[in-house]
Amino acid sequence: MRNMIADRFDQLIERVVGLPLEKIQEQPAEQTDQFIEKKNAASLHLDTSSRYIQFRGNPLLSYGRIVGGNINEMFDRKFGITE
Amino acid sequence: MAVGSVLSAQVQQSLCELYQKYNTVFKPALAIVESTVQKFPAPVLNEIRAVNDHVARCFVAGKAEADYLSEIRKANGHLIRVTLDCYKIMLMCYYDQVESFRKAYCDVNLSLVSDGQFLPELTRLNGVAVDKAVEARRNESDAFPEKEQAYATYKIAILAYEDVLKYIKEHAEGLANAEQHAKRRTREENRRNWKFAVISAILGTFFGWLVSEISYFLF
Repeated sequence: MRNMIADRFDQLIERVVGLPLEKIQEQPAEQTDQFIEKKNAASLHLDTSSRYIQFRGNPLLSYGRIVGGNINEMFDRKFGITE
Repeated sequence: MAVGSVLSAQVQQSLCELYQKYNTVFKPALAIVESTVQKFPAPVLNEIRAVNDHVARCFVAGKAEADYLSEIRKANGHLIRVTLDCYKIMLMCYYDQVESFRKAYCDVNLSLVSDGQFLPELTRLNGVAVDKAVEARRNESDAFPEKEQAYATYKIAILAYEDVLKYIKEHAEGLANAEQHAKRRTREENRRNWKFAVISAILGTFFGWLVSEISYFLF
């Protein structure tokens, strides 16, 4: 079960980032960052022209922005977790 | 003599393990955050600075081995925290995406999608994802100080949210049709309201005239 989750999670990372896991782990983070920037710019272009993604609030694009602050507090507030 | 060369084998081994975790666990977690949310969020940067600072203190000469190992333990604590932060950022982003979807479709009758099966299933999948996220957070608190044990539950929550988004994407066509239907219905309602307004105005004028004529003849 644990391995299956780990495998699915690794596959998710590879699919979302667009690079093999080994490459993400081994290459300089800066190179991964450059790859992501290029890929996101390309997908933004594709998303607006694709007729199959003609529904509002395209979930393929990013929404959130974490500017600063305490992640735990933000998380608890969002998911309604109280001590 | 260089400081690095006097670090004991145990300290060197601990440093090696720390950076293995950095490469194999943290870097992929950061990559997925940078792909979907934003480039290097400030809280992540703060934690990474803390990791680096503790490691840097291992290169100050003249300390006991226990002090060096303590610094590495602290660095490891920050590395676990920042990895968990990445998972939490992902979950918050997913939460916002589902909320944005709901807001965007608040005026569309989603019960029209997939013969009425879309909305209940979406509600169920989203409920599961939220429950898993809450469970992961509680699991993290329970696992203290071994917070690494919470990684698996956060991964389960992220995968549950992926199922929600996948489900929405799979119904893109049905959603587009429901949206068209909503637009058509709004247009029809507007046309009906306009006709009603015109007819009311004509009838109002007519009856007004009729009443004035009748009162003229009567009085």
